[in-house]
Amino acid sequence: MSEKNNPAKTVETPENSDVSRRELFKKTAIAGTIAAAGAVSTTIAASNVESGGLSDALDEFFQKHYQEMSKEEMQKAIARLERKAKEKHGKEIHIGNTPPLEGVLFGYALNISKCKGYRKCVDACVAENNQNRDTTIQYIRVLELENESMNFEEADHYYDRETVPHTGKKYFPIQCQQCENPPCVTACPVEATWKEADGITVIDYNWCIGCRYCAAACPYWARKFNWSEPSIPEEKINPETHYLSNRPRMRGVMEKCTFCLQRTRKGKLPACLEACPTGARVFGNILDPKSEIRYVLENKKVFRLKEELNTEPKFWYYSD
Amino acid sequence: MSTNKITFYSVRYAVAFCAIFFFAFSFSNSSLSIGQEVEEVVENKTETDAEEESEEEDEESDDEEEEDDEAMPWDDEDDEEIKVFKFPQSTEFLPNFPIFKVKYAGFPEFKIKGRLRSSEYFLCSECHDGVELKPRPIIRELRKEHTNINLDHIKQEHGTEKFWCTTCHDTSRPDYLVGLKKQSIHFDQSFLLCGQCHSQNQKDWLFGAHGKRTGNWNGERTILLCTECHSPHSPALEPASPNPPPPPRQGQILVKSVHPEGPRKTWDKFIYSKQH
Repeated sequence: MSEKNNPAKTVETPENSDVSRRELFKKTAIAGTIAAAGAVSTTIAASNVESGGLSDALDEFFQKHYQEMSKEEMQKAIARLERKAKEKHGKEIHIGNTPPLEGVLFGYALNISKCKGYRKCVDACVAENNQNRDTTIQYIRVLELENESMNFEEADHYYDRETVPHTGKKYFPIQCQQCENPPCVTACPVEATWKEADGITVIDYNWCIGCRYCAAACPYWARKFNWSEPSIPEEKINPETHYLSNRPRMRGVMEKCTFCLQRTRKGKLPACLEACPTGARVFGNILDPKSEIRYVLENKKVFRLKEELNTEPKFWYYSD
Repeated sequence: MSTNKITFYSVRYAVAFCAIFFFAFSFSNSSLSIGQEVEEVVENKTETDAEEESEEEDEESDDEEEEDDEAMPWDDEDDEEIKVFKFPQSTEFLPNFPIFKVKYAGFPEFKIKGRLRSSEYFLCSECHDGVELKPRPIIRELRKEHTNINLDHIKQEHGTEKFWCTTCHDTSRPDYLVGLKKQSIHFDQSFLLCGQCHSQNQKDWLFGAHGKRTGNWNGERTILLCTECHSPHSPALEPASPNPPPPPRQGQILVKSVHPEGPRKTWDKFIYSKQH
């Protein structure tokens, strides 16, 4: 830090300033490389102690971006991640890598006149997606609003009532809206998050640097950050996972709802829909004209949240 | 215009008649048994009709049901075939229970799961065998049997004068439901019964905007019956306790609103502790 102040002092003599700047650049460059090398060695050493394999640590450090990995590299990476997950959680975990289905664009519709605020979807989501049980990471927030109001400033998602629906209140679940024009993707400085061909915005957890720009960019509070090392009881881990969605995360990365990629790409329904006791949720392929979601979009009065922001969400709300 | 109308109606009726004959023929050959998939085709609308009359789907679907009732297997003439049906007494028998496949004009094809929730009183014919214990179609207070059934559906919305058990339960055939036109309705097709009054909900349910699909989002569509979520005797969903709320974020605290019924807000714990 003291060196940085030097150029300010030598500004008055322009002849010397160039030389001193060069020197400064050299010094900082050398110092930077030394620091980086030190950081690498320390991380390798640290992870070496934990995982017990130098090659694993090196592989993890030099693992490529999800979209740039070849098939073999992907298999290798997944095998290593599965091995490490077993070491950490003590349970066999299968990390899938199902590609997006062709001719499919996922869409979601939610009937707000049916939602009663039981929060069954929230718990099903946490159980399905291996979220940290210690912290507040929940992909779905159920807002409680005045019956005649759509003022989200006055909404309460911490409501704790003996029975719901409470008289005079309505309930409004919010999760990732899977925008067609996602601001979080634009905000990411390292391209660790992107929109897949089936319209789902995903994160490569190994590429994420944890800067949380995406969380600031998201207008729906859909992105959550792992402030601490996630802890999940062994018996509650869902072993059926996908690389891009619900595989066990680490400290310092973002995570978000992916419409249960690991289920929906195999034809199943999202966990929140399966758990909903009132049948308020409709999921499907919006490119299929015979699908249920297309009937809702074409025949019901639907609206999208914060439409004026031009994010083009693929999550619609409707009422009877 | 008038000639157009005449030709249009003549075509429409011709198509309808053809369809009735066709389905009457197809049903005369069908036999129903346990463990077999039973296809009940209720479609009698051609593509040309669907294009022309897409706006009047409500009315048409009603018409279809009327016409289809003539060809349904629960008609009085086909008594022998209906007796082949047997019902599960508990959910253990479900795998062997026939799954119904129904087609409607314009609606996406769907399957109905057999009832998962079965009444404790089922089979009805074990007591109401047609000889003794004949159900009386008189509105009264039940004192000996069926006292635990919550009859809100009768009391609140419809008034006790019009509605009684026998409005929906068939007295002559106790293991069946009965429609307003005295047609028998199978327990696994209760949506035909409910839809007599709640037609908008029925339409939404058939298209997928109401009700719940299970299993998959593409491929074969399996949806839950009305009675899986709604108790037929008190259909409104009862209030229940919600799952616990999320804790506030780290370093924050939940604070009550200054308004008596206002929403709680999160405050910075440090600032709040300084002020209070």
